[in-house]
Amino acid sequence: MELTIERDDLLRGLQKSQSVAEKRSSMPVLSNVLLEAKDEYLHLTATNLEVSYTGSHQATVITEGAVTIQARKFYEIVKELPFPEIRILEKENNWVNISSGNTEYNLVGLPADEFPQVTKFEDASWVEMEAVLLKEMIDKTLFAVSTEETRYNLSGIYFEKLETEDPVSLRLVATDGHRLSLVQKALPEVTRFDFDKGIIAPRKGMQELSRLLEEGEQVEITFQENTAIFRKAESTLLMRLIDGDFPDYNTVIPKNCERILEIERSTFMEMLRRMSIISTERYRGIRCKISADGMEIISNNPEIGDAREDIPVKYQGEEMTIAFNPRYFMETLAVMKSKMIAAKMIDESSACIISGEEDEGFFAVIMPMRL
Amino acid sequence: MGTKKWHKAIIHLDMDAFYAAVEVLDNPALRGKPVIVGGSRKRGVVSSASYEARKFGVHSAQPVATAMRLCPSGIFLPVRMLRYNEVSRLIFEIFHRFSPLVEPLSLDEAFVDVTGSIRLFGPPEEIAQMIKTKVVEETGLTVSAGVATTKFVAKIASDLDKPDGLTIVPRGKVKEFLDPLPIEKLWGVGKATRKVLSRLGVQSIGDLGCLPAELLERRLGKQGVHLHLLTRGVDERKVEPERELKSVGHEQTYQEDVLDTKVAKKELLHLANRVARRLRGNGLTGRMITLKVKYNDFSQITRSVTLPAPSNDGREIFQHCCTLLERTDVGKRAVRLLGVSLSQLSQPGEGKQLVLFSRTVGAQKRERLNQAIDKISDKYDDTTIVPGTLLES
Repeated sequence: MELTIERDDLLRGLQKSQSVAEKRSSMPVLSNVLLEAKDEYLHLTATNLEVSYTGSHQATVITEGAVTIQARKFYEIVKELPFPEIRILEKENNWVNISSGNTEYNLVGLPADEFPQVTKFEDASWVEMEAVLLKEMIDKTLFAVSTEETRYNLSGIYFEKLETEDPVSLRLVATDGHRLSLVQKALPEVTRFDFDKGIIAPRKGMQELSRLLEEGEQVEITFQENTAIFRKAESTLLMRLIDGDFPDYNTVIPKNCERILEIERSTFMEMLRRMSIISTERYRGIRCKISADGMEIISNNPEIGDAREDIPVKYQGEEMTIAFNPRYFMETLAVMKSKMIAAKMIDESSACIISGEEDEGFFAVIMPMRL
Repeated sequence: MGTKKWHKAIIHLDMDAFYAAVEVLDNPALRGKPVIVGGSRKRGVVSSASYEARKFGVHSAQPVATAMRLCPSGIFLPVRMLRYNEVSRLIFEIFHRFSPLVEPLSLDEAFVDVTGSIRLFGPPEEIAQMIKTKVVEETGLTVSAGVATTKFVAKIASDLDKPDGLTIVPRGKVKEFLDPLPIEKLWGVGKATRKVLSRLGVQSIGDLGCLPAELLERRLGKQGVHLHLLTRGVDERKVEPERELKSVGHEQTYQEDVLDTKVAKKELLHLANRVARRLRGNGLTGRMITLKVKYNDFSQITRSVTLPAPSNDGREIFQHCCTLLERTDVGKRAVRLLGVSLSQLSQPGEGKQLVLFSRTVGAQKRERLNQAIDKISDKYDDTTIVPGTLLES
C-alpha cells in the first residue's frame, strides 16, 4: 500500500477514528485504525465492536492495499506534522512508514485481516435529516442516559417514530430511572423510518454522532436489523442497537400538575450552582420551599455545613417544600435555551415536569428526593 | 496517685446478667429468683440467666431444654430485644459522659478509654466507681468493671469479681494478675489452641509466659507471637469508638465442608436474611453485594454485583447471591466458609432519591413484610420467624 493524502483530510478522519478506537482492550487490534487504499480513496475504520466509524478521504493511491496501525499515535503524529501532504507507505511485516517534509516515522502495525469486519450497507434506504436538528435532539437527551451497567435497557437513547402524526415526527427519550428527558420534532421531508416502533441507540454511539453532526449539513440515517447507520459526507457511523425493552415512559409523565413555578433559567441555574457547592455524593439533596412570596433553597450537609438563598418567583398553587438532586436540574437547564422555564409539580413526592417556550417539543421529568 | 501510674487507662464494663436483670427490674417480684431469658423450649438457647439460676448450672448458650432440666423451678422468659435496646441506650449514654472513646462490644458490654478524662474526673479507679454508681442510680442495674492499661487485661479483670465487681490492675501488677489465671482467659484461645498448649504442659497464663516466643511461633504461627505478647500484658489495640459502617456482612465456617449447591444456597438464604435484618436494624441499605467463598484448601474468592437501587431485602440479596454462586466452584469443590456482605451503604440521613418507574407491587409488599418481621423479631428474637426452607434439620 502506498499513497499520498492531504494532511487536513487525514487529520479529520483520524480524530474521529481515535475517539471510537478502544483505549485499552484485550484485543490489541481494536486500538488500531484500519487503513484501506482503494481506487482514489483512503478509508479509515475504527471500531470497539459496538460502534464503528469509517471515514473516506480522497487520496492519490499509488498501490492499493490495507494495514492497521495504532489509532491514537497515528493521530498525534499527524496533528503535529506541519506540511500539507503526507505519504503513507506499507512496508514488510505490517510496518508503516509515514513521511512528510523532512519528518519520517516507522510504526509497527497489525495485518488488516485481523481487523474485525465492519458491515457495509450500500443498498439501504436512507432517510435524510438536518444535522443540527438531530444534534439538538441528541444533546437534549444524552445527559439523562443511565451509566449503570445493570440497567442495560436504559443505557441508550430511545428513538421512537410517530408516523401517525402529520407530519411524521421523531421522538428521542432517555432516562436513568430518576429523571427523564424527551424531545420530539416534526420531520416534514421524511416519509418513513425503517424500524418498527422504536430502537435504543447506545450512549457511546450517540456521543460520537453528536460530535460528527457538529459540522452541520444533512445526515442520512438507516436502520438495518440490529444496526443503526448514520452517514454524513465522508463519514459513516455504525452502531449496534441495544437489545432490550425501553420502559413504558408515558406512564411516568405527570399530568394535571396544579403547582406551577416560573423562573428565569439562568438565575435558577446560578442559584443551584451556589447551593450545590456544599453537596457531596452522599448528601446531595437540596430543599426548595416554594410559595407565592418566592422560593427558598436550603442545602444541608452534616459533613460540611449549610447554605440558603431566596429569590422572588412566579408561583401558583399551594405552598410546598420539595427536595431534589440539584444535578438533575442543572443538567436539564444546561441543554435548554428558553429565557424562562416552568416547573410543574403535583406534590413533594411526585415527579416534576420542566419545560420552556423556546425549547419546542422538549420537556424533562425529575423525581424528587425524600430528605 | 497521679496520672503517671496510668499512661493509658481503659475500663471494660460488662452488665451483670443483663437481659435477666432487666426482667427483674421490670418485675420486682422476680428478685432473688432464678430467672432465665431465652428462646423456645423446644429448640431455643439460653440468652441470659440470673445469678440465682447460675447456681443450678444454667448458663447462656445452653439449650433451654437442658436449663429446664437443671433448674425446674426457674422462671423462663422470652427475649424482649426492644426493651433491652432501650436500657442499653441509657447505659451507653452514661459511659459517654466520662469519655468520647466508647467502643461497644454488644448491648451490654463496652470498652471506655478514660486516659484523657483523668484530669477531669480523677484517677481511673474512681471513674470506674463513678460509672458503676451512676448506672445503679439511673437504671437500677449493676455493672462489673475492670480497669487496666490494655483492653485485654481490662476485659479479664471485669470478669473476675462478678456481679457488681470492680477489679483494678495497675501497670506494675499485670504479671502478678495474669500469671495464675488459666489460659482460656486469654483472648483467641479456643479448643484447638488449648490442645496444642496443654501438650506443651501449659495450664496457666504464667506457664505460657515461660515458653520462648520462637517455640510458640513454630507451634501456633502468628497467633503464637500474639499470645506471647499478651502474657506480658502487651496489647496495642486501641479503644475504637463506633465508626460509620462501611459494610455489613455475615460469614459462617462450617464444621463439615459444604459439597452440595443446594445446601450452599440454603446457607446463603440464612446469611442473606441475617445481613438484611442487620441493615434494616441500622436503617441502612446497600448497593453492592459481595459473596465470599473459602474452599477447603483455604483458598478464597469473592464475587460482587452492584444493584440498580440499594436494598435491604433478604430475598433480593439471596437471589443475587445465587447468581454470584454460579461464578464460583461451589458444588464442584468442597466449601469451608460462606460469607455475604453489603457495601456502598446509604445512611438514613442522606435522603432517598425517588424513582420514576415505580417498583413492582411485589417489592412494596416485601418491604411491608420485612417491617412486620422486624417488629416481631425485635420483640422476641431473630429465630421467631424464619423462611420455611431453613426450618428442617
